[in-house]
Amino acid sequence: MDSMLITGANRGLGLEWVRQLDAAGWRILACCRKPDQADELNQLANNADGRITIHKLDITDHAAIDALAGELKDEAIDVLNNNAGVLPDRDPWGQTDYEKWRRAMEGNLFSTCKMSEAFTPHVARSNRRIMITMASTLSSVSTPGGGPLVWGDEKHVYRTTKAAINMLAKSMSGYLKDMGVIVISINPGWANTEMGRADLEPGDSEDILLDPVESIRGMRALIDGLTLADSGNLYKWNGEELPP
Amino acid sequence: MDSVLVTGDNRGIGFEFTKQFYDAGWRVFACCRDPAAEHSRDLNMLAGWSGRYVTVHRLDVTKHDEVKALAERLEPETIDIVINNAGVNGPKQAFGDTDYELWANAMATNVFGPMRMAEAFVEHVSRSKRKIIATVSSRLGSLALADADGRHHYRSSKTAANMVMKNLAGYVADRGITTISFSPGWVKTEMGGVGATV
Repeated sequence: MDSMLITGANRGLGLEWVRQLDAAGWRILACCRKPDQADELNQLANNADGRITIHKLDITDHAAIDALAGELKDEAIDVLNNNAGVLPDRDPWGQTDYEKWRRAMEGNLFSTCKMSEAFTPHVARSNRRIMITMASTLSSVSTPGGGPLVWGDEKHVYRTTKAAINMLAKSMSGYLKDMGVIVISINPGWANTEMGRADLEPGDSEDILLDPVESIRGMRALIDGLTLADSGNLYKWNGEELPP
Repeated sequence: MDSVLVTGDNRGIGFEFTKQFYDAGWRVFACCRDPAAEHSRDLNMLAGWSGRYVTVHRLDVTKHDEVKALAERLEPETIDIVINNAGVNGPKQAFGDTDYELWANAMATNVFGPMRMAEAFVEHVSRSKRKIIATVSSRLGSLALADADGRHHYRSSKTAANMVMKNLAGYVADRGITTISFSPGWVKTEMGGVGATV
């Protein structure tokens, strides 16, 4: 049976991943900070005949990550999905909150690296051997992101965490090649989730946002077609290449 | 008179910037973390000879209050170019044994440092003639050139530093300020180590 460990599984794209993979019969190790408040996730798990297990995890707590990896040491994990992340508030020019920036690096970048380090053995012994990290529409150093997006949009804190994640995925693809582990970074699209809606400008319609169902369908098709030669690549949710 | 402010100025590429700008007749604000330390001796000697062309300033770019205080102390000055040269690298790290504190330090210096300097010194640069803010990056920060060599902490910090400079360009364009990242090459300095090519 195919299996995925996913962080941030209680809402948004994470929850949609669980819905779709559940329907496809996957084993899902669903991690979130507060399982007792994850009503929809609990409901899915209760109807999945044990295929979905829920694990309490704060991904900024490295000791907790190690503990969970130890607890799950007998599991093979086909896909490690480093889905969880934070979207920090904007910082107007001249008013950057550096303490928040440090926490954003911990929440998006260090957490992704620590999860990947701790779960490398579980992934390496699986069939598919895939790790994915979450890029963003705002993660490319070569383009501000398309549409009306411009450099200097008060999102430099978030942008730097996601650019750094892409470099981390590149580095990891090299480290893990000998084990046959594929590492890619995917921009899931600007999706109609709580986090996605929080980034709308006043007056923007939700219609400009991507349907989470489409985002996850696209990413599933993408990972289904991956080979080791693709490791280190950056993608959009629909399989197109993401500019570096 | 043209003027430049350089961070991480007491050794390596930073000190070489100071020497060459001084030779060219520039006013140099040379910043380093510990001017009293033995490894700052050459910089202090140069400052001594220079007849106030080169002044040495204590500055740790990870310390917000120090950066702000220096910007205030230099308030009457005009600065043509700020060069964010201060950076940390650190030893190679095995994947599976990442030192997250070291990584956080690299982020604080290499990524937050240039933004903090830009926010603090934007007025000094705005009223100058050349109006340039530059950050010393690295080819190791380029996603297009990336491979795995045990430097994910350093590489990711330089990718993020490049992202800072891209955004900075947007923030200060209306003041006529040019922002750039550049790779200095692999240079024979203490940080570059043996095997360096320049």
